Amino acid sequence: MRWWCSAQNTAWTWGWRPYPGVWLFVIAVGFAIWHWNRVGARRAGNPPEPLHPLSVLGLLVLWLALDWPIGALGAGYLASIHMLQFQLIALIAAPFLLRGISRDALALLRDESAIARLVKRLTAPLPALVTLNVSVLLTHIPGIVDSLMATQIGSFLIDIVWLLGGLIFWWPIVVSVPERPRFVPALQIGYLVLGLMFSPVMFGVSAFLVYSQHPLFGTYELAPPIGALTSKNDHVIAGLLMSVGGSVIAFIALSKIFFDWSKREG
Amino acid sequence: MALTACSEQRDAAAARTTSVTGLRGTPLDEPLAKPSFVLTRTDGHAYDFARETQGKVALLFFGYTYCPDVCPLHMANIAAVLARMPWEEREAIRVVFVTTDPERDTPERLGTWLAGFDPEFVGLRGAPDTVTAIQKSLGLVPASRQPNADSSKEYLVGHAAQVIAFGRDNVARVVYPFGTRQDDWAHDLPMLARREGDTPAAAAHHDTQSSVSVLERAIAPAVIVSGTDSARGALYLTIQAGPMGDTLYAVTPIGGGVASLHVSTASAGPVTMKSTRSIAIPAGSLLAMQPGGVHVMLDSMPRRLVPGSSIPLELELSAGKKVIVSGTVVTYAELDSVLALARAAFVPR
Repeated sequence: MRWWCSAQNTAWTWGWRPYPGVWLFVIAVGFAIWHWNRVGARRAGNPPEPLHPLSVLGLLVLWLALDWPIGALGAGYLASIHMLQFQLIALIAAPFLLRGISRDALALLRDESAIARLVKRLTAPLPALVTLNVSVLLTHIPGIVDSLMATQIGSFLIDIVWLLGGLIFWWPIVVSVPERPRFVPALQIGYLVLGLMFSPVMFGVSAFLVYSQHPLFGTYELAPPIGALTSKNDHVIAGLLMSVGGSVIAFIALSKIFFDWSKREG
Repeated sequence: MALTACSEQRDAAAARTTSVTGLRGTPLDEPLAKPSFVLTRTDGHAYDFARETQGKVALLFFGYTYCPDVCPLHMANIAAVLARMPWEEREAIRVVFVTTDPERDTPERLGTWLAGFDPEFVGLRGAPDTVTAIQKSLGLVPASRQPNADSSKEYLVGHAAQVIAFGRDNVARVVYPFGTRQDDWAHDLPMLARREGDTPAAAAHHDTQSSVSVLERAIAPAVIVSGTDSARGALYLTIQAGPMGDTLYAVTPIGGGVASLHVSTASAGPVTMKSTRSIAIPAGSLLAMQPGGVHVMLDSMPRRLVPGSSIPLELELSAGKKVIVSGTVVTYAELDSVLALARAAFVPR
């Protein structure tokens, strides 16, 4: 039995396969949020709050992205599904998971501990913007993808990098601690536009996927074919998904920021 | 040569590095002569592989349409690269797919499946024994059906995973294993089309020698019989002379060794064998070498003649014309049946 999805040299079948590592990982993430909230509530002397519904939704999206069939298809068969995984993990699950961290839990980060200082530095807008884009770049370099996706640990590593990159990127938008009074809504909108809509890295990767003469990733070019989709068209869809998907998610998020801002001001 | 049971084993190593030929394909230890065989196209017409691909790059592959991985990937990747090549180069390349599963690969299915990649791809069917003999002549492990206990219709066929690339000089120097990427094909196919993979001599002599010679005669696959682990053997050729007649002057094993023409006679006494300088083939007649008759003795071969292996040979015929053929090594026990198979594939013109 395999614990995590990775590229396999077998033809795709729609027969369900269990990936217990995925279940344990999603449970661990949920437990971490729940435990953090519980510790925060105890310190604050408040009763523990249940997990925020959006946080539960984030866990559900994370599980869908990592488990069969999306996880298995993305790990070894279709670059387009691999890209969908990226979007689900880094751009959808990550902000939802952050919504599940309670105020009391976040209050734990207001001290001057090493963890609090690290979080503050990493989640400052510029480092966060750079972190996401560097993680996107590194996890889409053909040599790295082809090497890592061949093993379960390598595939796991890519998924972790995406999740961490997404959490760090969304932190200054979703989480209010540490306070950043100068990171006003207008700047938040600019941050999303630059980070997702017009990110040079995302545009670059997307353009390579769409316009390269031959498929970039050997993992997907040499994977047992599924249906009539050619590997080149699969790569084109992946590129479009990166470009369009990122823009759509950014548009939804910046719209919410804009309307919340308008409501407050007006 | 690698045999893959589809979806179980794969040649993982892609041919990413360039060899001394400048090609990224995996170099063969010894050049492989283009085999001569006739099989049936999906439209029902006979297809003489040597004649139809004469002077062209021929990418020969043995597979089956129900293959879940290797076959569709090779075909898709080659088709994708061909589609981007300029017409002059593309026109010099032939892709020939021989099914190893004729039971399920009906002409209609094979034709439709190949047309899905490229309508120009040639699909061939033949009797399993004939296809097996062709694969053996190329040094490939013959394809074999892998039984499925659950269903008699749903089974895999283990088959060689490499595409054999015959250059325009009718000699294969590289093969393309599973793992060959479009980038590799895009690098090598234009080179093969421009004869950059051919040896300089072969490229220079192409127009005056081999293309002419094959048009004037037909040659069946050669058969070599040898004792166990011997560096000596007997070679049997089948040559149909053209309307002008022909003469076989010499046979030269390309990788080294000595070959001499012999005639055996058995009239009025024991069989005697004597060497001869040439063998004449009258116009329109068939020279069918066989034990106890005309044959070629091979001696001092650089490697032991192992049954199942193939030896490229150069035949010198009339007017200095030279033809390269592939000789399959068989055991004495197999000789009669393999000779019959070789002649069954032979269609005199």
